[in-house]
Amino acid sequence: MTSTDYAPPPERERWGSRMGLILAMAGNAVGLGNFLRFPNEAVKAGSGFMTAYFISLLILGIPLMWMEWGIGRRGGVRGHSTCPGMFQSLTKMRFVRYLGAIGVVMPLLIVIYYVYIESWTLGYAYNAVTGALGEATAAGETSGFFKTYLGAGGGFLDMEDLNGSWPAYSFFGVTIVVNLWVLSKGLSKGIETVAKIGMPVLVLCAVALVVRVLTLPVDPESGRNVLDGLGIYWTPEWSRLFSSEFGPTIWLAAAGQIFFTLSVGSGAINTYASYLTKDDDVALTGLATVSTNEFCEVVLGGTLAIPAAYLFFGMDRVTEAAQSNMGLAFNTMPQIFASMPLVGGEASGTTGVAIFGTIWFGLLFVAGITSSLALSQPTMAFMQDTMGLTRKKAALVVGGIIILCVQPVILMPGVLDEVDYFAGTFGLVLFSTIEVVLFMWVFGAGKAWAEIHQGSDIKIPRLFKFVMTYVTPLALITMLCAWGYNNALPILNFEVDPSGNAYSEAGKTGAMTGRMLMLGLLAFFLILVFVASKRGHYDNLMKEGDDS
Amino acid sequence: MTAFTAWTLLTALPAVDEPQMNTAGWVFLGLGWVCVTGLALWCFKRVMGSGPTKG
Repeated sequence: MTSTDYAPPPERERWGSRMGLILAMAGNAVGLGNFLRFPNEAVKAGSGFMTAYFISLLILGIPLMWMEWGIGRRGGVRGHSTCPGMFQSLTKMRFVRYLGAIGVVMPLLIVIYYVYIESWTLGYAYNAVTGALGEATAAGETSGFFKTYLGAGGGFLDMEDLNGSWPAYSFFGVTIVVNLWVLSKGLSKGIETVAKIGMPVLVLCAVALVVRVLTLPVDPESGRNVLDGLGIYWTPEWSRLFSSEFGPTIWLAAAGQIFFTLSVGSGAINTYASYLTKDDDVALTGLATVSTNEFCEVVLGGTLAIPAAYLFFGMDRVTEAAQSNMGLAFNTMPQIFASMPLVGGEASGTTGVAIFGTIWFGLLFVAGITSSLALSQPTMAFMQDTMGLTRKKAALVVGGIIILCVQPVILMPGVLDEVDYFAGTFGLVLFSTIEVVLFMWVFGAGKAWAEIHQGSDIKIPRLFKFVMTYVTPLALITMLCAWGYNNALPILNFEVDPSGNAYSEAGKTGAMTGRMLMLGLLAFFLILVFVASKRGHYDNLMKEGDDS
Repeated sequence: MTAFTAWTLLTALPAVDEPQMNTAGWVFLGLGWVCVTGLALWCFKRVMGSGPTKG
């Protein structure tokens, strides 16, 4: 059984309410991936994706969510809000605290570029309101508008382009200040308040757009209708799932999307769960988080961009748009809004871009900020717990790191893609594998099962114990082996980029810079864990004489 | 979920270049939406029923 002898330090932060916790957790999970990445992955993988997606949810997503909640609460009860301490609470092997450092570095790496992309949605919402985006769309210049907005992103330290990046820099500045301000307000008054307001607003905005999309009339010229657009990924076709040609791609795409959308494997869930008390439920609240995210993804996210794009532009354009999440969000969607009637059958033009665009980009901003707050919290907690900083000082340190490290992401092509691939995609699978092995095998399946059920409001079907012990680790290790066999060497040797294309010279430089950034931050946090160890920060976990 | 998967296996259809929402697609979509939305509602009902914070 789990131990009940560890009183939390009195100054430890707590969630204000259970609903606030669920909304904050759901806010962490519901992000840009729900509305952009999910439909794009579904289109790229084609028929069969949804079946693989639901199976991946059952054998990877839900089990990992429960495990991370369990690990997080266990660590938090012992006074540790980040993965080094949480891992150390599972075993007395000292090296695991250093493995846990990955769970601090990875969310930080993700948030560095995530806040930048989040700021684009704020900038676009502003431009939708002012009408600038509508005018650009009417002139057929959405792509040019995007390039002008980003400015410096187009070239390697091209200082001439830097002038054009001021809008991007300005909105990034606003976004990072808002993030840090919320973080500095703390868990209950900051993050929880934003989630309680933001999540209902997000769902309302998405529902409004979904209702508009589903009630769009048949296109009189082509005869296309929006419901056939849903058929792109909802029409089941099992033969593709097990074909050697399509099967591996579909399964990997579906499993990758489950990781991305639920935010498992980043360390952020563990940190949020660490603010629970030992008798707080994790089984039901974890499941509530998953189901809220899935509602936002499958029901809302899957019904917006692609079906509307199919109705107005046809299948060829959908396939093209699905190649880029950013292209779909910032180029295709404004064109859809211009074609979309407010009521009746007349295209709404610039008015539609102003109204629907504001809702769409506002929705993406809210989805983004609730996720970026969660991704920043592990570093915040590490600075507070391990380095002894106050909340405001910790927020300043986190802000300083993000502002410093985002510069190569903004200025150099290839850095964002490289960091996104290693930290935001591959890293999630790697870290999840470490977590599962530690929790289910080193700590022990029986104790892990009891840990998750401590204070539980529901009884998880026993089948999931088998899944968590055998199926989930096997699936994760298979994914890692498949990556190692197919992609590892060419990507690590800079032969191809993460998309499988050859590197340009500037892209290669960006990729090397991205790798140096990742290794530099990892080294930095490994040193901090070492320093914290020398200061005795993890001693309580070694002296407990309790493996329960 | 087993029935969910079984249905997709039983109603497998060849891929088409132009998407078309057929009966199997509607059933799959309907089950998917109902399962996901139903689970979310059930979870929230249970959460609300068990008090603001337990512990």
